[in-house]
Amino acid sequence: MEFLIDILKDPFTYLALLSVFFSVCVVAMKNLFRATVCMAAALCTFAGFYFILDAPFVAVIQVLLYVSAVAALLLFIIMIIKKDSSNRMIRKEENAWKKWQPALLSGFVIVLVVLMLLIFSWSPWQNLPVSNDQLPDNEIPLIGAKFLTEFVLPFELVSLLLFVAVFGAIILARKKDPVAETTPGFDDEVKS
Amino acid sequence: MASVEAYVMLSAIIFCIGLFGVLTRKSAITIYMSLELMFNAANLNLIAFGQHLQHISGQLFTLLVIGVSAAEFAAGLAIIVLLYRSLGTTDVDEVRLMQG
Repeated sequence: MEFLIDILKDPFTYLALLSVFFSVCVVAMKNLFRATVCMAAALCTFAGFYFILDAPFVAVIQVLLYVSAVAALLLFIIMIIKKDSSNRMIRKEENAWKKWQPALLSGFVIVLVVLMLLIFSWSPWQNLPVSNDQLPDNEIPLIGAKFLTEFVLPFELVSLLLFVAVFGAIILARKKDPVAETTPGFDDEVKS
Repeated sequence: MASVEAYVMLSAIIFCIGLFGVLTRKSAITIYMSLELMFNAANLNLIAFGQHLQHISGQLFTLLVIGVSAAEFAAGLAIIVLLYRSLGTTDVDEVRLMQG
């Protein structure tokens, strides 16, 4: 009984239920617009997890980047793309065994992890050293300092990667493709 | 306060929901959304372990992963738009230009 009350008092329980529900909605919704809104909600619940894990900076970045930017971008793409004429949402598979493979695979992984953790209480991280100095209450100065000293190479690499990705996205999605203009028959070849 | 085990289990469940979506959906956009779910399940693990071990690296790596996934998202959506413009569909079963 005590255990149950502890579970019910924990905000983790409600956030976990919400996040699983919205994640299932993302995969199950037929309407792409609704699926995107469900994805935004699921990512919001993840921001809630980061808050209860004392990582408010990551939570704010999550809301700024995933919930607003990514969801808005997805909604624009969905508006651009016409609804497919066929209503088929799920890939067609000829035989029944192939149809069940994805469900079996993902169910197997869940069961494996839950069994390892609950039944065999497999937890190799118990032996890992816990850092002696506790995290400060306000981690943002520490994050900034780490990114400019110890983690400066990954930080710069990510900025370079973002630059290349945005540059490539603009080149790819441009209306007039210089390659198609200079190469006769390029468009027809792609369409056929 | 929930234990690390609870977070690991939750993240495994979310990851597998994303995996199922990637394997079964036909629309490229839905596959992308499932990929985002998988990214976030991994991030949740990083933050939970970082908090458990009282180490800042979990949050740093999460921020880097968010940056990488944003880059992947921008390039991927451009590819989806291009795919739609040249083939008129985002159905991944219909796209078989490279299949010979």
